[in-house]
Amino acid sequence: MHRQDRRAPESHACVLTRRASPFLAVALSSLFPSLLGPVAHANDDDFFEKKIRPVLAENCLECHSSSLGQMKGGLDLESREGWQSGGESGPVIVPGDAEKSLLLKAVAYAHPELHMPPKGKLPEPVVRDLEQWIAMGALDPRERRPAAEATPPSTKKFDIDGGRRHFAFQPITDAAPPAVTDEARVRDTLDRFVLGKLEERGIAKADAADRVTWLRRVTLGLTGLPPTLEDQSAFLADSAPDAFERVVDRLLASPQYGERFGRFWLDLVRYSDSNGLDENLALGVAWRYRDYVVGAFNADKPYDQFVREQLAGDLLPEPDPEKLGTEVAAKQLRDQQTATGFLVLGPKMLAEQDKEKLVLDTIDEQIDVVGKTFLGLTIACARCHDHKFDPIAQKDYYALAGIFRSTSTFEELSFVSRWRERELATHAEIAARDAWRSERDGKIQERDRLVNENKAARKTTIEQTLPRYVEAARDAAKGALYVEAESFQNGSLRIDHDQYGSAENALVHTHRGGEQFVEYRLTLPAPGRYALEIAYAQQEARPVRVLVDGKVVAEKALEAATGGWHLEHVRFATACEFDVVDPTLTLRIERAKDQPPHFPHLDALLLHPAGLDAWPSAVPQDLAADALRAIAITLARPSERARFTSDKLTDEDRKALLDRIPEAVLSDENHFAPETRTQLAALREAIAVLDTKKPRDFDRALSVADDKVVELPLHIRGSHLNKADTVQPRSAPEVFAPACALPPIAEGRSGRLEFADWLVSKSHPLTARVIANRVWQFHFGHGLVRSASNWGLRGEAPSHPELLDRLARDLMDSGWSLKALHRRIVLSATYRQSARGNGDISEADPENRLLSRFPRQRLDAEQLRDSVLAVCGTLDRTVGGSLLATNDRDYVTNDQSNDNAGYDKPRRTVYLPIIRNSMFDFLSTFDYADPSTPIERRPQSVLASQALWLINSPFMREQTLALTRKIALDAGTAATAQDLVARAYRHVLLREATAAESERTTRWLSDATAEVGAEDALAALLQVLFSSSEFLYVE
Amino acid sequence: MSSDRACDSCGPSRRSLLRSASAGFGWLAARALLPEVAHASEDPMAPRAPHFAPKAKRVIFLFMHGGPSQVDTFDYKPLLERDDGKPLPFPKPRIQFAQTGNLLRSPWKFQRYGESGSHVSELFPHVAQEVDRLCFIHSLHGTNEAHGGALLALHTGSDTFVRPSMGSWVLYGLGSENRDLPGFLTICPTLGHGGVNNWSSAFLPGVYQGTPIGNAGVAAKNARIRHLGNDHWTAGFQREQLDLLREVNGDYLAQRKDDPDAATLDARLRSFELAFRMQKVAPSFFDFSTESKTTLDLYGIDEQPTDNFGRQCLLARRFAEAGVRFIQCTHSYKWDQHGNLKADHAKNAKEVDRPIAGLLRDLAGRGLLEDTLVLWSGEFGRTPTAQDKDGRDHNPHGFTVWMAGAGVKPGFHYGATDDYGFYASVDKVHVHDLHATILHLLGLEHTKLTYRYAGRDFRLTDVAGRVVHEIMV
Repeated sequence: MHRQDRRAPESHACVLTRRASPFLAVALSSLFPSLLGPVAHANDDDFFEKKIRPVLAENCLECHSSSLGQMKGGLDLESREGWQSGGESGPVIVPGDAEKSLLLKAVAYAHPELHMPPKGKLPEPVVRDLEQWIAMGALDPRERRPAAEATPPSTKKFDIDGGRRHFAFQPITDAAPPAVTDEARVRDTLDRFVLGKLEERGIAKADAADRVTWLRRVTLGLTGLPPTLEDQSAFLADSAPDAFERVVDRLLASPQYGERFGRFWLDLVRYSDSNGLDENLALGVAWRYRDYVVGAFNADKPYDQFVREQLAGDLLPEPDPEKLGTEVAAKQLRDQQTATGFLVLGPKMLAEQDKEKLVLDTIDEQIDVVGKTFLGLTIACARCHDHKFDPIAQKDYYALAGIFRSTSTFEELSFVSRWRERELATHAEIAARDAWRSERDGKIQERDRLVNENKAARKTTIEQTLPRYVEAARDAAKGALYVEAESFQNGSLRIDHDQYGSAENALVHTHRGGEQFVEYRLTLPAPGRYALEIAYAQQEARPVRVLVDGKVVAEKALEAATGGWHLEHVRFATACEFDVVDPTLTLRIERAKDQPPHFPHLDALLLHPAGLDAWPSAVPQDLAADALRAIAITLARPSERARFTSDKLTDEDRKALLDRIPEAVLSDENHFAPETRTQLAALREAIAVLDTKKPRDFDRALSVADDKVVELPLHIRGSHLNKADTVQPRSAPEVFAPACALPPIAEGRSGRLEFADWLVSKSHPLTARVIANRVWQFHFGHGLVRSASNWGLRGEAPSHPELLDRLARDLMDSGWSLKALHRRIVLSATYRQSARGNGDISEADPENRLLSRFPRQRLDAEQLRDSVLAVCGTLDRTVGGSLLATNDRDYVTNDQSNDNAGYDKPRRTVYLPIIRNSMFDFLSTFDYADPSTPIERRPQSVLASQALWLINSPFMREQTLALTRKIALDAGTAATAQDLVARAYRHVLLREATAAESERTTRWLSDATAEVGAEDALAALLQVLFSSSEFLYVE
Repeated sequence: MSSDRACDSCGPSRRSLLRSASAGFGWLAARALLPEVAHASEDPMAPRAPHFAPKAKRVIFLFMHGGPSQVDTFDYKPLLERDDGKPLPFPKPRIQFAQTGNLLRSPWKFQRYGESGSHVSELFPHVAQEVDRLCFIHSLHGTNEAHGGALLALHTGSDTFVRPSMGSWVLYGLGSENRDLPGFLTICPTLGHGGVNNWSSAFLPGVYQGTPIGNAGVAAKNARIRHLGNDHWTAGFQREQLDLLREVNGDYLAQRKDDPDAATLDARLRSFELAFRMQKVAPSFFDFSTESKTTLDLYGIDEQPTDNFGRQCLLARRFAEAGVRFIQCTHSYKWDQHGNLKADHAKNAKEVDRPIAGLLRDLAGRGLLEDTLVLWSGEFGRTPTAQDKDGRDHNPHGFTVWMAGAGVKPGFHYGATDDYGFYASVDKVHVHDLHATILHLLGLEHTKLTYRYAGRDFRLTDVAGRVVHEIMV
């Protein structure tokens, strides 16, 4: 109940009246009591006028009235025609049948979903009036007002043909570049498009940037790290005509390129190492997807293939090692199996108990990220209604949702549901492993079956002679005493029923520090020489000392380890022998002298006459010694001896005695038939052989899988509790047809692969444009379409539409090579120009959309942290792997504690764990937005908290100290302040200090040295340089 | 991510100003000190006029994490007392967090207090004395039966998607009155059940996100803002360091003063000045030595078990006094009594009762209650039906919250649950309605406070929300 307000807010959370007045209705009923009875009304008209019209007017019309322009849920209750045609859920009144009338269900709050009015239930008499009115035929004299009077409905008609004319849905054009006057400034065709606009508008372009500026820009741009001083001098000295090209090729070939551009992609796909939302469990294998992305960009995997793998890699054929070579095929297979992690990465309400809602919300999240990332469309807006702006109908949404509904993202929909993961291996490898496992399981089952059968047989044998056993055992037990370890009268040990021991069988062991001992007051059957056996468990030697009445009888006993600390490791061992004169004595067991206090885990003591090889010593020929001993131990407890006598064993007694015989005794194979023993040995041998052939454990990755095909009906107002009757066949949005329609979906398949193929078909108007635009944004801070993930009618128009199309077309023609696209952009004159423009553009182009200069950009969080590490010489350049300290599917945060992610590692920032709900504060301070939703572009904010981090964080302190020590070492002890300043400038700002800077800073450093010492002074200076705009911004 | 929400766009939006979001504290200083800076009007933290005259200027949100039981605190149900042990005479919700059994009467006695004659259980003896200041809504209802979803719904209006939090929306709508402190502070917030999403600005510019002071795992006594202060150097030396930085950045800016983004560079320069001021000013808020013994006693500070929440409440008052727009105090994840209700609800109430009453009295005494809105709420209430013999399950279907101060009727009760306190039944107020009402009290029309993101205008109240005018003076 009451969930309607969440699921479908528009239809239900609407307010029927701001001042709902149930009192009016009550007042009416009391004024006209005679009207209450079903036969009392004079005529139906009157009933409507007196009892129904006011109720509708007071409670319903504010939200459901065509003349007020408010028809929530598409429903008009202002006229008969209105409710006759009904709303989105169909007709709301069935005249004559109150029970079938949705309106009545809603006002009676009897619908699972619709409760009207939402603010509170109408008084019961009013509900009964409505019921009666409908039952009487729902006579309603109100007619719809002429159209001229009515306010037009607030929602405009959904227009797919109009939408098709929007540039984003038009085919990619092949426009020729404009002619430009300044041919010298053209390095790439793309420059002509940019230059053309500038010349057209008469805006002066900037000069080319100097080499140092370009090198820093392109190195940070493509790798996220600053150039080294060596890179810089090599480039400055390189006068070859292709010097720029060779720099770019070097950068694109470095693994740091994939880390940098990969991070850009990870923003788009809301990459994270934890689920976030309600149950913040570790997505412990998500990092394999991250490494896949980094690797894919480094390998320049064609973008179309990259898209297909992420949507449907699991459905692609396994790469053929014969054709590709084993290594390439294995890598490619791993890529395909890892890539669909893309669909699983989203935050999910795992503890949502309405599992259908969970599944549909997950699909919605998938549609949202797929739509935005690849298509630049906000398709998820059409979940509840046709898209308000874009030509995406609600049926398009459910057509697409059918594809993801036929895909499984969860292994299990349990209380806390489990997302899907898969093993990374070939079908053959998995089949071989399964075959191995089932063969081994078979052998184990066979072994266990044999053992169990023979155990049972042995038990039967013993049972048949049980009275004889009891008789013999009683004889032996008369001279013995069995004592439970926990029955000590005095001692410091802990009686453990739950950690190592069990509820039925306690173990006794070390409690806390200090003296460790136990004492038992015992009364033995008679004087004489006794042997003491102790049942105990220990993994390491913890010898004890035994004292009888204060006299040491064993200095060191129980030296042997038994294999563990638990009940299953308990064994008997003879501790000592001693003479007993007075049968009432105190037995003390204590930790041997000078030993640490830890005690063995004691289970029981057994005292019996000494001098025997084994106890009991007399074993009748027809009985087995081990079974006899087990029963004798039972009967060595005086209470038990009284209970079991050989001549009157009840069934219960028999069972109890047999239960006392340890499993180990029953399964002692020495008692099995020789052929059984041979069989068992053969099985064990076979298992051991199989164990040597154990296949490797496979790595795991997030993944989806195809599921049963399910097509979905429209969910009215997005609610899964209110579905239309007919299902939508799975398909791509209609606006793309017929020019680019989804290929037919093969029988029994989800349609993901077909959808992916559709996305990357060359006739698709959006896929290539969207990614080309993103690459542009990656370099210039903004895309040619600034709303990079919204190309709909509310998105922003492209600044250079022809250029966009040219880049998109060339991208496809290059075989979808993103490296080729990066290369041409960073080598273009547009990219190479200075950030310092020529002339004022505050009027003509205040946002620099026409690129008359290179847009200055702040280092993003990753560039900043990585640059500091690199400059300070502490960066660990290891590629890939996980730093997450939490196991897969364990909680990374709870209400009080932060995650335990390894943020202190000097690895590149892309490898630091991304924890939803508990972001590494450095990242959020520098604009890494919430990783729960796709991030199309990071803001470049200026915050006081950034300043606080730069001047106060332990990270900056450690790093600047590291660089201080390096500089001090390089400069030597005789270095002057001026020399130190020069070195500081070179390291951080990659240039010589000017004379003025040198003088000012040298003076400052000298003063500071006097104040805080040489090391802190230089560290403080470095911090100043790292905090400078020159360092924080890229020109 | 807009799926199930309508996409009406209405009202003025400052999106064009904020789209680039290249703004922050630095802008404040830029505006305050350099009125000639061309982009000063973009200062995202400048105080802004609300849509209409506000009743409240700021909010103190006392969040009782875990879900305090309405039927054991402020929603008195005689029939529950009478029918203890009997089955609930109407159906339980379609979706439940866990199974519950028969009705369980409250272990605590209720009594009427104040001129309003409001019922309060013996759990809250101190708050009971302030009952004539409180405005109760007994018919609050949400939709999510699990902590995570319910926390997010209460804090952000959405239990499905990541959305800006209430405090962020308020700050976005009104700016801040204090330029040396963040405008949205959350003291000892929980890191679970949505964690940072409960105070994040989501797609709103980052300047509007809540600044945490400590977290639930840190004693209020030790809770501080991150990186606020330098352990190695004196303020004097750091001043010298920042003087040098100002010169370095000044040179850089001077060469670029005609560039279109010169204002950003200027803001960068000044952000260090603001940071320095902040670290100078903020610590004084944590220094209670200037407070009188009487005041400290009012909050139960330096006494157990009230010290921790008492400090949170006193910090809240001090920040409110300084003009911080939205302040949240969290009594973390303590109220979730599926079992051990008697002992633990009593313990929890003891921890907060005196501090809350003290805060109300202190605010009133300083005249701050006139323009400060205090909100007391859990993420949901609890079922009147029992879990085992001494526990109650989550109940989002009907629970009690109260407000006090600016603009709300004192000693007033609005709405009701059914006879047993399970479902809100009279004058129901959804969480969206609560949000709409709080915004209204702050002078903001909830349908007009929008932000354009991913192609549509978003609101705190999504497409829902009714202002509950009935509770306003």
